[in-house]
Amino acid sequence: MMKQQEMKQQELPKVRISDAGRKFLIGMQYGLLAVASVLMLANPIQNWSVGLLVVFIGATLFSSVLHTLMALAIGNICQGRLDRLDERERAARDHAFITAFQITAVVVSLAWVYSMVASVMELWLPEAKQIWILLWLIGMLIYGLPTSVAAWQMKNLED
Amino acid sequence: MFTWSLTKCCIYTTICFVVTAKRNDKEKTIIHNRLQVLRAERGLSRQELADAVGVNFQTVGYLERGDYTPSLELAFKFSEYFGLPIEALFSVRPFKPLSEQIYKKTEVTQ
Repeated sequence: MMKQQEMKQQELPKVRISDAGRKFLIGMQYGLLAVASVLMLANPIQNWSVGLLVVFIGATLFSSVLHTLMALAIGNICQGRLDRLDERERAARDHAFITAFQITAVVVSLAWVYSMVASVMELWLPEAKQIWILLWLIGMLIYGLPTSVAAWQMKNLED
Repeated sequence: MFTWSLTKCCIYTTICFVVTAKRNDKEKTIIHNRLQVLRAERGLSRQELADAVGVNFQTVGYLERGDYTPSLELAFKFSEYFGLPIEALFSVRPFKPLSEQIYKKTEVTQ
């Protein structure tokens, strides 16, 4: 019984952020990632300045820190051990992963459709050397989105 | 030809995402429960009740607010813990207030 209670204590969220605060921070995180990606893609590699690199590294660090913070706020349901989660947490985790996959699929699909339209209509397209920025963005989405979705949908007890 | 098929596939993925998200919102069934009343009646905290049935204390909050529908297994655990039949705890229709039920029964007996 004591061991079970100790285990439950470990599962309590270590960080408490209000619902509105969580949504604001998630919006900020992905807004910053989008701005960093657009700035990096809009400028050819030879024109990159130190400021641009600072924005890029800052966005990556900010996103990583927020990801950790959100994971702690929701009781680490997306990265934690499955046997420590109850049925509601497992359902929330599954839902978060499915939604994150769907969002990533839509983002990749839209990027693909745009690349098709742009190549036909001769619109702007990134250089081949800049493709790693898109890979970085997709990597950030795949890694961080499930936790962000779970944090977005979670409701605090006081609210 | 291959490119056009892939483009159609991408558009289809986007449409499916939007349709599924809307359908999931419509299909939610609400199961009403008396957990909050019973917990207050017995002077239990959310943490105590959660420990007794083996869930996180937040799950008890979600259940009380009606934001989460429990599995049959969890519903039976609550039923066993409170020593009441499952239909006294959970219902697909909203519960009438206990005071109203007791008052009406007394009226009929008299």
